[in-house]
Amino acid sequence: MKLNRHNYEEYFILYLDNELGSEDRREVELFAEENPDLKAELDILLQSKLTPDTGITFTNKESLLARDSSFINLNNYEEWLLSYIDNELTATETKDVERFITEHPAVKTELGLLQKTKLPFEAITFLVKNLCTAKKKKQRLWFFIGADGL
Amino acid sequence: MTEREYNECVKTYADNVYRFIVKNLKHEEDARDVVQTAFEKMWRNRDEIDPVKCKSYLFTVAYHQMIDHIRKVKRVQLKEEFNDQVKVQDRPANNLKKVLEEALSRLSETQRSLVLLKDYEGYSYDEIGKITGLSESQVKVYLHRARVQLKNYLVKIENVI
Repeated sequence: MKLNRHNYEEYFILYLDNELGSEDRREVELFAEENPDLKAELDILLQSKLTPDTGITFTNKESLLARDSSFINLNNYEEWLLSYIDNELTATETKDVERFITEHPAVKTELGLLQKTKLPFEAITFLVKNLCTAKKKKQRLWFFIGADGL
Repeated sequence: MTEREYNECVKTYADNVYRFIVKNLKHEEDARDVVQTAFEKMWRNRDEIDPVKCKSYLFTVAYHQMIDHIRKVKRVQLKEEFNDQVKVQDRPANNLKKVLEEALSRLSETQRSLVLLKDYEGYSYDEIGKITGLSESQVKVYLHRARVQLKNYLVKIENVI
């Protein structure tokens, strides 16, 4: 970068716009230090940088949402509770649900009921041997029916 | 983009895009309409949108929507801008923020958008080019002109005060 008194403005603006690498930035800073009259110009440029006006917000963002399903509320909490007991929520969503439950005791009662609908684990063994025996018996039965028919 | 990702985009970027549009249009209701239309378009095309790029998609759609809007109401707006300028000359500003607001309002629509995308959102020249449909070098030239205009306005006002 060949920074001089003829082309400094372009580099000052690139500096302001954060479009220079760290080495070039340093060069601009050194150049400004060595040229106090131009440093004043750089300072004015830096002052012209706008800062976001965070006071301006889009009110009623909910109106833009696809559905109200992204927040747990009194109209949709059942679906959220079901996902909660099925462990289908993210960590943040789980926290949201738990906070909502604390704030709404009636919903907590309902969650208790829904949790009771969760089936406990039941040990059922698939008995392969018995099934084979049953099949054989069935075949034999058909054989006898056939013989009687003759 | 899933429904949840779309809603996340609304929650994260609705304020940013609204701020960008309202600063350009200087009309809250019109800005709300533009933002709403941009989100509607995003919802309709959600299947083709990469959620990682949702912010630039939103700004691109909103920017073009805003340009269409400006074209439609151009004649009325020119009249309003003229009145605004008269007011500014009558009543000199006395603080930096206000002076900058006034200086910003004197830029062209394109220049103003570029400054806002750079200063508010921190986009690079390349990203601004993709949003506005300009080449990177055009962004650089227009933005540089805008910066010089802003700076000159600050200098002029400082001299007046």
